[in-house]
Amino acid sequence: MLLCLSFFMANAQSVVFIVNDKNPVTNLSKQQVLNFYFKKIRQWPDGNEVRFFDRSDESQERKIFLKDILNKSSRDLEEFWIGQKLYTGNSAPSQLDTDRMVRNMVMRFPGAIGYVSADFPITEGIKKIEITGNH
Amino acid sequence: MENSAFIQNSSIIRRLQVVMFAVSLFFLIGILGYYISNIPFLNTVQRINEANAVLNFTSQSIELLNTSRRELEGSLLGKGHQNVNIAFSENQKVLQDRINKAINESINFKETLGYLQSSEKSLGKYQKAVELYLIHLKSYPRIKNKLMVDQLTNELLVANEFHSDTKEYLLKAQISIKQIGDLAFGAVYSARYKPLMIAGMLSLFFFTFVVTVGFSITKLIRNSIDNLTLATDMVAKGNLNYRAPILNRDEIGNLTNAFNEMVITLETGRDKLSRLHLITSEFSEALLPDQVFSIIIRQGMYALRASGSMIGIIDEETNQLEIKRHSGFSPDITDHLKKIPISLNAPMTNAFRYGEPIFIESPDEFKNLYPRIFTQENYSHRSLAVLPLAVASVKLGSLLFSFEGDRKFTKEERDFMMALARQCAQALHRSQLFDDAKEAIEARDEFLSIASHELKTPLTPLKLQLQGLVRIAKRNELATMPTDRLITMFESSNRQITRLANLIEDLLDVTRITSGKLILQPEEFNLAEMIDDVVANYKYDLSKANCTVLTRTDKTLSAHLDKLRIEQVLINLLMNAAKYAPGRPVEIILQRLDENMGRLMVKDQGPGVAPENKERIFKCFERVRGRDNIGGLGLGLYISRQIAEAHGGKIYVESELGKGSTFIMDFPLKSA
Repeated sequence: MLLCLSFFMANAQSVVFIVNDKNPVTNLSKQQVLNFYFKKIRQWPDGNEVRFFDRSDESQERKIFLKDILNKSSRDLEEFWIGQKLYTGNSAPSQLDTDRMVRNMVMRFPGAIGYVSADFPITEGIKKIEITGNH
Repeated sequence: MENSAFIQNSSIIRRLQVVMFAVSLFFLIGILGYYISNIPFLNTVQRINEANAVLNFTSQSIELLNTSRRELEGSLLGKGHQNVNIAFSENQKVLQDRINKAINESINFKETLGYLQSSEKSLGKYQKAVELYLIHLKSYPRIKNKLMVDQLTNELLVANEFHSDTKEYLLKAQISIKQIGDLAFGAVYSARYKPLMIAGMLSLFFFTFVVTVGFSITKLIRNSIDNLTLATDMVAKGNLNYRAPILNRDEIGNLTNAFNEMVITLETGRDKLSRLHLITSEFSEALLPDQVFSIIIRQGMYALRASGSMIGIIDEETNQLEIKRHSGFSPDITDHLKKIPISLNAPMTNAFRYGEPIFIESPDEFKNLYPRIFTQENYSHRSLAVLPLAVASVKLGSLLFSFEGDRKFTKEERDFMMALARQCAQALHRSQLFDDAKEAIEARDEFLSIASHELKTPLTPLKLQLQGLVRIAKRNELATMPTDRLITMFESSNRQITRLANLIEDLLDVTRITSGKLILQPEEFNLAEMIDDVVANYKYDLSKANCTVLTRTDKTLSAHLDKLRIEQVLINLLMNAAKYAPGRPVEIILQRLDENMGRLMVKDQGPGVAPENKERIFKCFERVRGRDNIGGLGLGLYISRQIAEAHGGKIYVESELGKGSTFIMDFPLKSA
């Protein structure tokens, strides 16, 4: 069980990124997160396939994610993923409704990465990772 | 007019060949372009077809996936797991089939194949996840609590993930194959249309080239042919000094040049022909040899553009070529060339003897052939043509033309000169015959006047005497005439009659001889006795001329000849001697030459016979000119010769002027 302190934990309205606890990675740069979301990087260093789990549009966490990490509007992303589907076949990451669903999926898939609200309990099978800076 | 040598510097044939080559190239490129454009096309079409098939199958697969998701989503809402199970199975079967087919078709498309294989893997995971979900769904007859919902939801979520993966791979495969299709089509386009376009442009270029060049060649050929046709027309109308202009130095130019040369030859030939005609017509009006000589020299030199000319005519008696006429030679040469013995090795004599023309084209050639007569001075002209003058087998002489400059006598020129020489010879022969005829007529006229005079001479006294006798008889004085006087008168008359009879007999003999009716009647007789008889019979005439006769005869000589005719010869010779050498002794010699031949000689001491007359006196009607006071027809010696020759012998005279003459007859002892 790893305890990570995040710069963003000061804000109760922030999100926390979790991965499968077998994933050796402990921190990621913001850019790396972006790369994972936009499916630019599809593999972890250990070879597992990256599987990003997004949240449904209405959820608070998604809003924070959009604002703080992606810095894009929902509309922008919609358009982006339409284009992506047409030109590369990549589809948008699955959007889950609740933190629990995210947790269940992250536990299920070794390469999964998702975000939950900051105060979501980090239980067995998942772990938090630090998001550092912009690069 | 000379034509300069023709140098061909272009060729219609070459141009036509180039055009034909261009046409072939045009077709070749067209065909090649078409062929090349098709090869990759064939390959690529196949690829495009394959790609389309893959696209088809992946699209269908995606559709089926979408359907299955909807079905699954419906399941949670209480559709009943059985239906869902069956529907799902059916769906998956078809889906797997489509993906398989897609995989089969994408053997040549590595990337697409990769995606399809990945999608197959994901599909496997998806199917397992769904199975798991359906099993749990089946095991819960009713969904009672949140735990069940969570579990089923989770399992559905997992299945969805795998569903997304599968769809994503299928989409990628689709995009990939679309790109390949587009690329292939682009490749087809450039593969097919680019060469075709290039081929098309090249063909157009060649076509334009062919048309342009073709037109220009057509025009060129037409012009050249029209030019030549015009020239042919002009020449056909008789305009032989027309020369066709040479428009181009190509094959037709070559033909035009050859045509011009042909026309030059025709013109030269025509000129020569008209010259020959002119010469012939001039000859036809020339009667005498002198006139003929003038024409030959003048026309011959003009026609041949000769600078000098010479005519030599054979003198049979002296066996020499007498130069009758010349022109264009300096007096230094001609003064020495009056008569040339035909045995001399010189051009004119050789041409005469052999009857073949001689052409000498340079002084060196002359020097080589006639070294003995060549001198720098006497060879002032550069080339010579010497032609024999002969009619049938009769050789008349030879004709010489000299030319400035070395000459190559072409075959046409040689033929022309020979034709000219033949014309000249014929004209000459005709004029000679005319001349001879004229002489013969003159001689005949002279003879007729002499004959009538000679025949009249005895007739006049004869008539007078008879008239006298008639007068005496009328006066009845006949009986009173003294007998001696009467006898004298009768004897005189008798002699006149005899003289007349002899003259007539001579004339008749000539007639017989010329008509070939001289018939000999040989008999055996003693010649010496015959001579003595003749001398005795003509004692009167001989004594009247105061000629004594000496005979030296071989008394043993007998011959088998026509006695009367031999007597005739002797009488003739004796009477000639008496006539021309009165008062001088006459010698008659008879001797045996050998066992077959005898000789009779009559020698006088008269004035003699000049050498030029020695043969002439034996001719018909010939007498020594200038001695008109001597009577006689001039037939005696002619007849004597005929008689001698009829027997197979001969008669001739040896004489020197002023030293008398010896007439000699050689005869066979048996007539031939």
